[in-house]
Amino acid sequence: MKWKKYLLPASIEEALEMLAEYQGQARVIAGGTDLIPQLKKRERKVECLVDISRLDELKGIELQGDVIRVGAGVTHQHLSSSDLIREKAAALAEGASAVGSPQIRYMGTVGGNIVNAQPAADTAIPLTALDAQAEIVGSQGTRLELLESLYVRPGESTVNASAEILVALRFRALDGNEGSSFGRLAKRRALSLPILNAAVVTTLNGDGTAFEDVRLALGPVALTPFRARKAEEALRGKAVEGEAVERALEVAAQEAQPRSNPLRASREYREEMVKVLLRRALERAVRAAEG
Amino acid sequence: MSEEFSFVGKRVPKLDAPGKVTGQLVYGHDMKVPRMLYGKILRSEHAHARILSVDTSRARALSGVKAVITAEDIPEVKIGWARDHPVLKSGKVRSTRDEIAAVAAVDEDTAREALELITVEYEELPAVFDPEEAMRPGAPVIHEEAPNNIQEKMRQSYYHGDVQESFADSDVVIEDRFKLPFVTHCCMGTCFCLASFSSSGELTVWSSTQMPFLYQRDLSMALGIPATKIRVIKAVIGGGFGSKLDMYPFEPICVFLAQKAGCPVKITFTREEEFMASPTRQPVICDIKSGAKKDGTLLAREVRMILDNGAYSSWGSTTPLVMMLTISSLYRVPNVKYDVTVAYTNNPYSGAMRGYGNPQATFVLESHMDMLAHELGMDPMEFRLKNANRPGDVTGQGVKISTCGLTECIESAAQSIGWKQKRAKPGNRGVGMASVFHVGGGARIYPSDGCGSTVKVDDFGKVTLITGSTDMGQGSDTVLAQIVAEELGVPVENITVVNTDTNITPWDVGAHASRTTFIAGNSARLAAADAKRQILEAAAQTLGDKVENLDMKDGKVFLKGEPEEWVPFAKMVRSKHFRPDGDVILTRGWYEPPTEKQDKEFRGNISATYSFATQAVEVEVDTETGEVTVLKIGAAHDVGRAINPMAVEGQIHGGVSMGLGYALYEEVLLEEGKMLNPNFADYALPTALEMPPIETILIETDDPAGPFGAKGMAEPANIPTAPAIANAVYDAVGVRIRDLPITPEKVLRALREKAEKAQEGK
Amino acid sequence: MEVLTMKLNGEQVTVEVKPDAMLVDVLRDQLELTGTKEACGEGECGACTVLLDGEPVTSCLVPALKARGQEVMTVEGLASGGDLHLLQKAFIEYGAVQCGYCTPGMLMSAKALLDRNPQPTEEEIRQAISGNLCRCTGYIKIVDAIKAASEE
Ligand SMILES: Cc1cc2nc3c(=O)[nH]c(=O)nc-3n(C[C@H](O)[C@H](O)[C@H](O)COP(=O)(O)OP(=O)(O)OC[C@H]3O[C@@H](n4cnc5c(N)ncnc54)[C@H](O)[C@@H]3O)c2cc1C
Ligand code: FES
Ligand code: FES
Repeated sequence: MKWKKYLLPASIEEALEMLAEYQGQARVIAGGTDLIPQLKKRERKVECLVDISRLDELKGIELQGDVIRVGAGVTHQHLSSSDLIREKAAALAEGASAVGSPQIRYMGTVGGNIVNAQPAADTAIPLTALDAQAEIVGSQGTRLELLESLYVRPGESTVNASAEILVALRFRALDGNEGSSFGRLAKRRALSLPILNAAVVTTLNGDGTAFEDVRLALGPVALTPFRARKAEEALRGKAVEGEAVERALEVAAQEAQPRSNPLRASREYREEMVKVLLRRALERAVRAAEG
Repeated sequence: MSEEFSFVGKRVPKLDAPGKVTGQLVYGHDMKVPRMLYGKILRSEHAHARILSVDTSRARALSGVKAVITAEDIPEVKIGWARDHPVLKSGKVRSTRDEIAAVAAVDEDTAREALELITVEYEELPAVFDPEEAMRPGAPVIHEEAPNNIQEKMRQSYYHGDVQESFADSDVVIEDRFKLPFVTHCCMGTCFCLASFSSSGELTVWSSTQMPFLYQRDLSMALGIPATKIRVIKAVIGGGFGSKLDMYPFEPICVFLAQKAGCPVKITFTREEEFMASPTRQPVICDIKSGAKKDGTLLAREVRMILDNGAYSSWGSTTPLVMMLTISSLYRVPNVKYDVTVAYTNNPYSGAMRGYGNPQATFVLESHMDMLAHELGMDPMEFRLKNANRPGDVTGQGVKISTCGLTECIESAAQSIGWKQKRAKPGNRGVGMASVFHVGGGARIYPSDGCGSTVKVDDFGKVTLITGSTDMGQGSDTVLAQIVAEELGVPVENITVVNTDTNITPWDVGAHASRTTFIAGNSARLAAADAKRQILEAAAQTLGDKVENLDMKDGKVFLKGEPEEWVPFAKMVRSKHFRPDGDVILTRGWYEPPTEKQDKEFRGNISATYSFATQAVEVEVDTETGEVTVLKIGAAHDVGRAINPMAVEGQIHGGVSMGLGYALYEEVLLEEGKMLNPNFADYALPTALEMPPIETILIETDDPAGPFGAKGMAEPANIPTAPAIANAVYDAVGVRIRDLPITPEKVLRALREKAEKAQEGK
Repeated sequence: MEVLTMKLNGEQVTVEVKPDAMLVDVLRDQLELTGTKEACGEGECGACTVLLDGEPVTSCLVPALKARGQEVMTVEGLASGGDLHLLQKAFIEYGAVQCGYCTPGMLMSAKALLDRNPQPTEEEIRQAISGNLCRCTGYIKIVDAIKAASEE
């Protein structure tokens, strides 16, 4: 491990100063549930850790107009038990409650889940489906970016955790005719990374019979969280049940192209499961939108 | 029934539980002694390679490093029952866990750093990872001594009756191949060893061993130190399950480091090391052919097995002897043939693990029993009942069954999950069952299967049981204390149990074969009975009455029939001690079960009694994802008598959870002999969310040979779960999974194949 | 070395720690509170669970300095005075302990649950200990013990 300094800043500003002082040799730590194992295995090296987990500025979940703003320091525990999130972004609450174990959910944060840049992170998938934006501060000030654009490859984010801080994630609170849901396959019900996970956000037409809009996110089927855009296209304007849905699921399985992995499952199985997970998630999202 | 007893049959909390819930009890992992160094081992990067050179000079130069050893520094001795396993490897490595060098340093970090400074040059050799391939001509040779890669000492053939003839007589004959994976123990406390030499040259080893006396012998052999100079103490450990039954290279390595450094040295495995370097349950490839008559009479069984031994022989390669018992004797089967070959590969080696081969054998047999029943058009439960072993049976292998509750086990397990109402019903739910036959009264595999005990009663009435047996956490000390309390007639709180220090405790073969309650229990009971006799004799003298008229219960000595008037037993103990020809109470008990070693044809009654159990399960299968959920398990176990029902239930629950893991989740994944999942994230043990409700049913057959009627039961709990689940999956959705674990992917594939076949059939 | 001051099991303690020390190591090696076990070092088994400001965390993933100025509770802090905590009593009485290696972590997860939810359902109990692996007991008696403690 071998970091030489462990700092506890009192504000975002101070955290940024600390990072700046170490000129790339320091790194942000939040819950540490990703970073500490990486440091233990020496997959990363740092001189200094800047602990942002006590910054109240990062811990809020708020409704601002029709936008929900989730602080990057919000833990999975907090996220999954927040009434606002459960009502207005159910998929995110469900995703957060699927992370690891109670201990990991108490420690781990949504910000860490994003910046760690795993293609199947359980809050990243719903946030992708929610079309979230990320608020990032650095010495140059604040920038706003689409969540999707933060991903480079597994483990690599465009957020430079040695100089910048992801402050919050924002997305539109779902309306009455909208619904979302999250689904996941894993070896067991706790302490398991997903074999496959999926999040769905749907907007229904006036009488609730057809999809006005759909967003489908999947992981881990690509190097980054994956939007099944062709399948979304195939669903738009179509009836919420029937042929079109089945065709769209085929399209999703085609475009997702999951790979075989001895620890997860074969390509064939995972392709098949893309359809099952999405079908189930769609059904639940539609029900939520109707209800 | 247990009303007549004061302590037997009671839910007495474990004696060591208070120390464990407060964190006060010191485990081996927590131990530190003055000047203690930390040892670490460098292991091979390759599964099969020639070692060209080992350069330790930079490690030796690192400050804080106190000793570095390689094969050159230690005697050339091979360990393991087949003597095929060098402690530190020179010449070549045969698996990725192979030990090449070791260091001792002032702290763990320094030791780790030192390992990184050791450079090894290898020349990779062709390797073989599949036991069938390993036996083909031209396969890479792993041990020069075994050019065909076969562990010849374990090439066995057994038969009784005549299978060929009886297959011809059978109305139904089926044949199948099953495959069982590598799995591993996953004790929460990893292996450790702490070695220290005294100035007088006595070596003390605190270890996690389950068999201190054989360990003392093995250490002596590996170290070249006389056993008279070795003291083995089992420290408090975090689970055993068979993993600590053998001595492994890290233990002599730890001692050699201590010798070289002149300081105590401790080695504690990391979790990754525990996964890679402690043993596994051996994978099995099994071909089986079974035959039966139309009326459901089981006629014949022919079994051929190939075991993956890994690169070296630990106890894993001897498990065929236990499998043989099940194959010859689970259910009445008049004709049996069994052949087994154990092949060396470049995989990690396999050892003893809860059930000792029986989980594999029972998975195969009980899956096949189910398939036969379906061929016959019979209810699998009825088929089992028809062929169930009965009290008084002598099986073809010479196994003498005394008490046997198999019929009750089958019936009550079935009832507990609603077998009759739920079987063969439409929908995605199904029921399945499997039974187990296992030794329950020791297992004579060593010249002695005995255990010694001493009971010491002091002037204050404190009773100390010094037992040869080993408590790994299963709670045997508590059960032994109950037995002593009952026999002696003193409260259980008065009793202290001292175990597992070879300088103090009498001999015992070790904690294996579910034998501790039975063997050590009988032994403790003998010592306690003698102590009681002596106390009552003293009381007779002091009180001026006849011994026959006196009794003792709850620490009180009284005239039979007049329990209201009593004297404290400690007073009687003192009356014996403090008189002119005084003496203290110090008794001994040695129990050697009335069993025989098997003859050359493997016949003989190796256990004083046998255990039976049946588990019935209900599952639900998600036919879209292939996921199997176990809804309920009924576990009926013939335990002879439950000395401590709470402890027995605990063993059953734990066994079932391990069986559930074997059935659905667990597998050591290897790629070219390297483990892909040496961590708890990727090697999936069941969590609390996976555990179904379990109804435990204790069938008390009151075994005449057992202490208060008890027989061994700890391993059986782990054995039938997986085949019961596989059978339930079949009942639910009509697919037969022949290789564990039953992953969603396998189920889905089988469902697809079934649908395709149905399509073709049309 | 850095100075770490925290409230540990109700008492203010100050220790010098290496900047990269893990909380589990400081507890076990420096403060000799060996009740907390380490069984994986990767957050995957829960054996090292302690309460940090009342929340269950795996102390093998917590840099010791994260606890600066915070409250830490280990299994040694559960009993008060000479009295065992209800959970400890129930674990003993219900046979929830076998080898005991998972026990301290289980107890801390259970404590965190009951502090927030004094009357949990069985499913909630199972959820609360789903980050704590046990190889011996099959969890059933652990769940029973927690339920019994919650009903006291
Ligand atoms: C046993 C175990 C099980 C797990 N199971 C799951 C699971 O099921 N699903 C899942 O998705 N994940 C899982 N994880 C991974 C992990 O818990 C999550 O990704 C968690 O959300 C990470 O958050 P953290 O606060 O702990 O991040 P940290 O480890 O503190 O940080 C992760 C990375 O993000 C950077 N970072 C953190 N916060 C910020 C910020 N605000 N601004 C800039 N950079 C930042 C850090 O520098 C670091 O590179 C598991 C981990 C463990 C140990
Ligand atoms: S030791 Fe910390 S979770 Fe396993
Ligand atoms: S009691 Fe042994 S791991 Fe839980």
